[in-house]
Amino acid sequence: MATLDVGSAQQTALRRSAAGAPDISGVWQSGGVSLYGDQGTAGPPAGSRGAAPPPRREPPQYTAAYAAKQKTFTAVDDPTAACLLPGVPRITSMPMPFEIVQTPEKIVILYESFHAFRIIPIDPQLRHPADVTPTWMGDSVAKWDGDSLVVDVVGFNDKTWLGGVGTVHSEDMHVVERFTPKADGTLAYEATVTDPKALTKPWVTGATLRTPKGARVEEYECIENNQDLTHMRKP
Amino acid sequence: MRTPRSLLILAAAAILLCPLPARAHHSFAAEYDANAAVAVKGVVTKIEWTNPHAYVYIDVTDEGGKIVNWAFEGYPPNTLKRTGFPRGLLKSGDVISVTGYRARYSQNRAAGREITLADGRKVFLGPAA
Repeated sequence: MATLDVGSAQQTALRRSAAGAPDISGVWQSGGVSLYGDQGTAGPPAGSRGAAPPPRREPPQYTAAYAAKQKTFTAVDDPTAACLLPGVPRITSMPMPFEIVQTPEKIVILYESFHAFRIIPIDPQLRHPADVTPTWMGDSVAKWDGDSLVVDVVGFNDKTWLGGVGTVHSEDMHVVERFTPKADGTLAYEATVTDPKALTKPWVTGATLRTPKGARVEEYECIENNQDLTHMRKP
Repeated sequence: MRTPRSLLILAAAAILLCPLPARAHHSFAAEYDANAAVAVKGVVTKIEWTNPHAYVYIDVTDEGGKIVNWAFEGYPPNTLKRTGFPRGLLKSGDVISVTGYRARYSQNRAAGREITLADGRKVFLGPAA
């Protein structure tokens, strides 16, 4: 049986970069069986049992037009079933590791899932380029707020889902992510999604990110042998 | 046997603490039927160590003596490797038993759950429904 040595309750001082900011570099993962190297189970490590559960998450609250649009989709329409990029914040929930590379000037996140990457300049003014083209992963810029990395993301296309079936959004979606290292070695992740066209109130999601046991980011070429779509049907 | 209340609370906490839903690629229910368990024994004919899923194909002899080739879908290769199912563990010609869940719309196709090797070792091929 694999030893559970991730996410333990052991208290340690935060790692810090030479510039004084928290050092959040390394390999992280939010869930999935490979997080612990254990066969078939994806529960939390023994050390975290009894900890406070995460806050209950409310589903996205849609405007009438987008609620109607959501109903036109089924699970077969999920962009990731066609191996398309999951967008932000959904990419963080994928059961595969990602690596954060940190310098004083930028944060780079390399995701195993769907070959996604994000190059995130550090700019206390959170300025985005003037010529952003709508994309699957959007345009990200970050600043440090105390010990949290705050990432501001705009410039999305309207093709990704937030998570559940048909959880669409408009190109006006704005995501603010917070990555906050904790003394127990975990990285708290929270994302607040606003969208004046699609949502009637901000949608908040999050996860506790842990360092997967022995894992490194490897290749995942999703389109290689994607048989599933030919075996699925709309209900 | 009565389950101690403290254990029930721990179990509930474990469920609540589980991170965001962890389906990497597609909805399970759109393709497979969680209520249609399948268990077969046969001879491995092909292994596709591919993304987004690995596939194990086995020849199964049905009750009438006819040989039917089944396809069992599994985790992606990286996940299999990380959970104790390395590439090369299985090879064509191996006799294995496999459990899983039948496809809704395709014959002789299933989401694989567990493989029992000829020597009795068990490895997980995919998630529980």
